[in-house]
Amino acid sequence: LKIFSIELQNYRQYRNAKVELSTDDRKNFTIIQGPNGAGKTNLMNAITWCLYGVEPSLSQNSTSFERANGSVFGSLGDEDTLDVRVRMTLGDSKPEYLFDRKESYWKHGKKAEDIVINQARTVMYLDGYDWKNHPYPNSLVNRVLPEGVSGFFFFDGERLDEFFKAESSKKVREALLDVSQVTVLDNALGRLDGLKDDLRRSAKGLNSQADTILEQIETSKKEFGEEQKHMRELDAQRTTTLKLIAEIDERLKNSPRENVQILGKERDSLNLDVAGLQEELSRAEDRLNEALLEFAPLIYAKSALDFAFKEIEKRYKTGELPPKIREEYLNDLLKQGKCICGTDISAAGDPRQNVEKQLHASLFSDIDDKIRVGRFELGEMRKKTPGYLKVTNELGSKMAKDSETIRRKGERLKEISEILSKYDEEEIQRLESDRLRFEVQRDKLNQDIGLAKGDIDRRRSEIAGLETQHKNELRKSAKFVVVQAQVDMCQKAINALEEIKRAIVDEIRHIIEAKTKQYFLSLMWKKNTFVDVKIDENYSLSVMHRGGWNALGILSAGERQLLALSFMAALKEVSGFHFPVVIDTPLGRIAKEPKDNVAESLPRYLEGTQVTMLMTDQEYTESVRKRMSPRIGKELSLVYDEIKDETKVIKFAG
Amino acid sequence: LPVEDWPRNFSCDETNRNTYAELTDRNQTLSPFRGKEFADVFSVAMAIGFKMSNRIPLKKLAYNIPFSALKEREWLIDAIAIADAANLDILLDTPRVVRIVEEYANGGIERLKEIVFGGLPGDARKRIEAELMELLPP
Repeated sequence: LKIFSIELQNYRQYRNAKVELSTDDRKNFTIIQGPNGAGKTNLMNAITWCLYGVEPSLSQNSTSFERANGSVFGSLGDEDTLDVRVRMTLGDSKPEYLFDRKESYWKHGKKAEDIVINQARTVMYLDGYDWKNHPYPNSLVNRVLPEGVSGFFFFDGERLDEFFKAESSKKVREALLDVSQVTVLDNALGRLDGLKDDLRRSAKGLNSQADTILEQIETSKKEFGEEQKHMRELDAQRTTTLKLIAEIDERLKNSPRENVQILGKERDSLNLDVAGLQEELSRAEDRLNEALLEFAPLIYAKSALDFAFKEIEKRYKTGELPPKIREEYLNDLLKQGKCICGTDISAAGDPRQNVEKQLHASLFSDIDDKIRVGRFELGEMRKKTPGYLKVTNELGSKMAKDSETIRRKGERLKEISEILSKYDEEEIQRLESDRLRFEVQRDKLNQDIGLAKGDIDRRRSEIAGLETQHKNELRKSAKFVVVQAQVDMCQKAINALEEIKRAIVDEIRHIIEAKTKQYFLSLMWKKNTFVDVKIDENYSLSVMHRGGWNALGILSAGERQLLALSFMAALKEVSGFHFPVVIDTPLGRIAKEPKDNVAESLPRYLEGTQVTMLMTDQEYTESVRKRMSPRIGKELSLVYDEIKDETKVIKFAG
Repeated sequence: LPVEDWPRNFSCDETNRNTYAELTDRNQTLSPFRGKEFADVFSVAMAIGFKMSNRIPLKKLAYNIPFSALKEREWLIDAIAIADAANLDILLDTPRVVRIVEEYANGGIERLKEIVFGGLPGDARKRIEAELMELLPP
């Protein structure tokens, strides 16, 4: 689908505007250029508001009242109403769908009040030459682009830089879950769990002990729900705290005092280094766990490996192995009492004993190949065992080195904080003191989250234990067999769905990893510095430096933005939805020369997709324009008139 | 069972099923086996049981360790059975091999549980690591 037009009526600074986007397949880019405050972000908000009724790029203190153009609303008479409307037409080769959202505001008394008296959303489709109301607007919206994945199609380039800063693995996980569209599985899992509870309840009264356990299960589940809610609250608080710290950091980095700027930037880079090193540490921990699983059985059972290996060798040396003569033939010789060479073997003695020995060896004929493999494998396992020392030493010394670097960087961070706390400007002192306060709050929250996770884990195993007890108790009553079979069936279905969910998300993770790598390495201007992008099973993303270490922590703001752009492009592609892409401030953080490279490469990766870029004049430079020109179908400018509080959309004049 | 025909699943004792689940629980921060398979726990438990010469017969079988996940450890299993029987001929009796290693794993799992959840100081991986270092030749 393509967006043909967006009409805005009294929507924020747009009184009456129509934006027509390029629908040319070869010239698939529309550039909308405008200074800060002209309404670039609000144009993107208008699209999401029209489709979903939400405006994700608003500041938190905005109210819906601000949606109505302030100056038009101000000019209304008492009791007058004002319609705010956004209308979009979409289609493949011509407009086929019309999405319209309207809100009516009522002016009551002298004081402007936020009174929405009417809200309406209409979706129409073209039937021949007639526009008709679509009977299922929600399902149509979900079919063309569900809200959950819309963030990979409409996004703020400026904020992309934040994506891989704090809590990046959490964001990667959320993005992968969104794009995997596993909500249907989550719903099914929730229902099955509910059904399991209902079935258990239906067995009430069969066994009083079981009923008591059932009550305990229900209480524990309630507690579990409360604990999960508490965990989510803590998590939200932590996110807010991290945002507050990031805001202070931005202010310090943009301080008019040069030395404060330098310290702010140094702290930023130190923090990123520490975060990167901590990720490295946790990866090394994982590798040590893997090594433990690999080597522990071999080391604990080393004497068994030695014994078995020697036993096989002995049999080979004495000629008992490999078996040479078939079992049936040797049995025949023993029965007849005559060896193949003519010797009498009817009576006990050395010749008969020799044939019996061969008969014993022949029992191994069926597993002859197996023993051959075992002889080799046992040898390999025995050789491998001392390798554990090497692995643990290497990882151990790397971890010690990383921990020491973290400690040193931590010391420097403390020094920076002390300098800023005593800085001879009150504002800087205040910012630093707030920052310290938020850091204490963050650490406390991290601790609380750790404890809350522990509580949740304990509760989960408590519930599992109680469920087993309940099952065992109910087995005592025959009537229960049917109910238990149904509960077991539910549990099997839950296990299977969880497995499917895990498999889907894992597969998507691998695809996103490969595509992010492909995009990032091609778009990156430093051609020989980075060699790989990885997303591990804990959703932690690393950018591998050619020296073999994770360089995520030391990427520049522009490089981080490029990484996020590559990740978004990968998510968009994997989502399977073919919807236009709108990027606000796409090149904001990227310096001049790389900006040109990105401008040249980006269209290649968004080939066949209608793309609208909302750019400032610093971004849309002459050289960016020149490089993108073969792909640009339309160029527009936003011109804001402050007195009239109105933005007009005009043709870009260059 | 004919020679080399392994059962589809190996067993742990019904009473230890939960221990396997707790040790491999993805959210279990104490366990170095978190997010791993029952077969990983079984392999380590079996080797620990053998090391301690602690073979405990299973009272009630819970067939929950697929052989497919133990396939790579086939010769470790065989080696333990050969060492236990002190004879290579044990390989001709697969059911006995299975029983021997299941009983060793049953003996070892208690120790493993104690190492991980026993409230001992330090983390479980490091405790096992220290034991392994003692066992390695200097």
